[in-house]
Amino acid sequence: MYYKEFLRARNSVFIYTLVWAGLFLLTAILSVWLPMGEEAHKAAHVGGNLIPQPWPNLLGFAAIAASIVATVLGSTLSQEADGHLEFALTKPASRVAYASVMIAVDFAAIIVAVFVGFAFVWLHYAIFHHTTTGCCQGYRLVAGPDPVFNTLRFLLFPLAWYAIIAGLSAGWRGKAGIVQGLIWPLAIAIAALRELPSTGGWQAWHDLFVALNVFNPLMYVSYNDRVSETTVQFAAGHALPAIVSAAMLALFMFAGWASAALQWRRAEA
Amino acid sequence: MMDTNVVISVDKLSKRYGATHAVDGVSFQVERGSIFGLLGTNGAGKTTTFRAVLGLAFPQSGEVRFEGEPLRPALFERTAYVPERCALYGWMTGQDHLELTKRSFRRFDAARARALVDLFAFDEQKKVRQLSKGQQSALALTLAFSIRPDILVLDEPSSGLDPVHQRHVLDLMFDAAAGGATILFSSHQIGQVERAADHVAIMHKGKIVLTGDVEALRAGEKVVEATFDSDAPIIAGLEGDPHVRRVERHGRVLRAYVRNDGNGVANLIGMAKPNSMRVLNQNLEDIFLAAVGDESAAALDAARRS
Repeated sequence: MYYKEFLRARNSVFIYTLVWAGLFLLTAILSVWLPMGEEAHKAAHVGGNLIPQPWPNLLGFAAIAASIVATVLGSTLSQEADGHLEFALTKPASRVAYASVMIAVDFAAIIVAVFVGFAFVWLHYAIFHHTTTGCCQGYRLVAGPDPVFNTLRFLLFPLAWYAIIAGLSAGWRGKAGIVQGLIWPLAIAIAALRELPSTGGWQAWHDLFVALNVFNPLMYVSYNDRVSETTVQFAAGHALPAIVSAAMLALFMFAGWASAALQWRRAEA
Repeated sequence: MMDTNVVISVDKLSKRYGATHAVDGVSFQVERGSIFGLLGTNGAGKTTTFRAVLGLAFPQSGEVRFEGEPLRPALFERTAYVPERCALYGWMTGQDHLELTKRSFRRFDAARARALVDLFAFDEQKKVRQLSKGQQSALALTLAFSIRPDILVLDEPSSGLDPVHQRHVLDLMFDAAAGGATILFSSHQIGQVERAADHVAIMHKGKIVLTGDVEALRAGEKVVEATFDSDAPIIAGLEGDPHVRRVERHGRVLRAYVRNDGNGVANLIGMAKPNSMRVLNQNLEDIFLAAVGDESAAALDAARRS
């Protein structure tokens, strides 16, 4: 039953890995031919020592990249409903079980994509962000603040992103592309518009976008650690505690899953 | 009390799309080991009936039971459906679909699947979108028969197949029915239905207009064919006879399609002094055309004359 989705997810992750490999190769070539790696290396030094790099930051970067895979895979139920229901729904499994298995397979693929991205980012740091004497010397990867919940929220972010797309598109036969195409610009725009001034005539707009951003998953990957001054954020200065962000992203994930499964129960060929 | 020999029971099934009654109060029963053919013109409601029977469309009213029980997902372990249009995944190969079916059904028989691939002679390594319509149908049939189902629902199973493979489909159906499988199928090819089905239901505009045992239907319906010296005359009372379904006139030939033994109508036509006259058994095509109404028959007559 899961085999079709396994193939689809495997293909997506494979292409995603190739893109990462290509980018990695590109940065490697640029680092050799241009002094970019050296400059980055110098910039990362304070008083001759490398600033420690919290690995959750790398994971956050990888998670946001993996949400591209999540965006692609998020259309699965909408695509199933577009001409494949006669094949999909005549298997010995309930509709909810079928939808849940599809989603679970995609979740697994997205987690793999996060770790693929993490591995390439880590390799990039390990190879190119080193002291001048040789590879990997002086590179310091640390846990950083609140590593458990930061790790959790970065793993949950692409899953929530996927679930929201699936939840919005599962009942929309073959039209998931609209959701996939609009979700990124809309989420970024709503996050940006939160920065409208909270004074004068802008007050109402500011309040509106603050309220809307409660439902914007991008708000929950805002990150600002005091170890490396590294930020992973879409709303400067509004980073929430990691545990709150993780809880909200988990809520989005389950809500999207439930919404998609419920719509799938009513799908008709 | 429920008849334990009835495998599929459809009772007063109705499905509406907006103001259109796609299926309107359809009832029929399919007995174990029988081949039940559903005939109808395009848009008669056959496909919607199949979808509603299998839970792929939700009827507004009516009831469907399998062996006396409502449809449950577990029933699909031993039920196969081949839809009219290809529902397979274009980006996957035939082999991928076989693997998917293998992983989805405990009853999957790899040796039978291999034999069916060889029988239909399609390349299972090709992606579905690279296969012809007939080859896609062959793949869908291969998947369906490879689980050795107890219940088969086949919507236009020979669509796109060449005559040789159409014959294979018929043989597979006969073989499955002989092994106790129950088959509900539709086809535009009346000859195929006539050959395969032991029971038939004729649908028209969402309703079943005629149903019964194929042999009994044929025995109970006659054609009275008379030839005259000049153009076939209009015979008073012929069209109005309650046993006459339809009257055709082609030059000097007059044909009356009747619901009984045809003797009364033959006597009536005989009064018009034809040169010759005979009473023939109707074939299923005659019965079908008579059942779906005058407009279809009139259109056919017009097409024949043109």
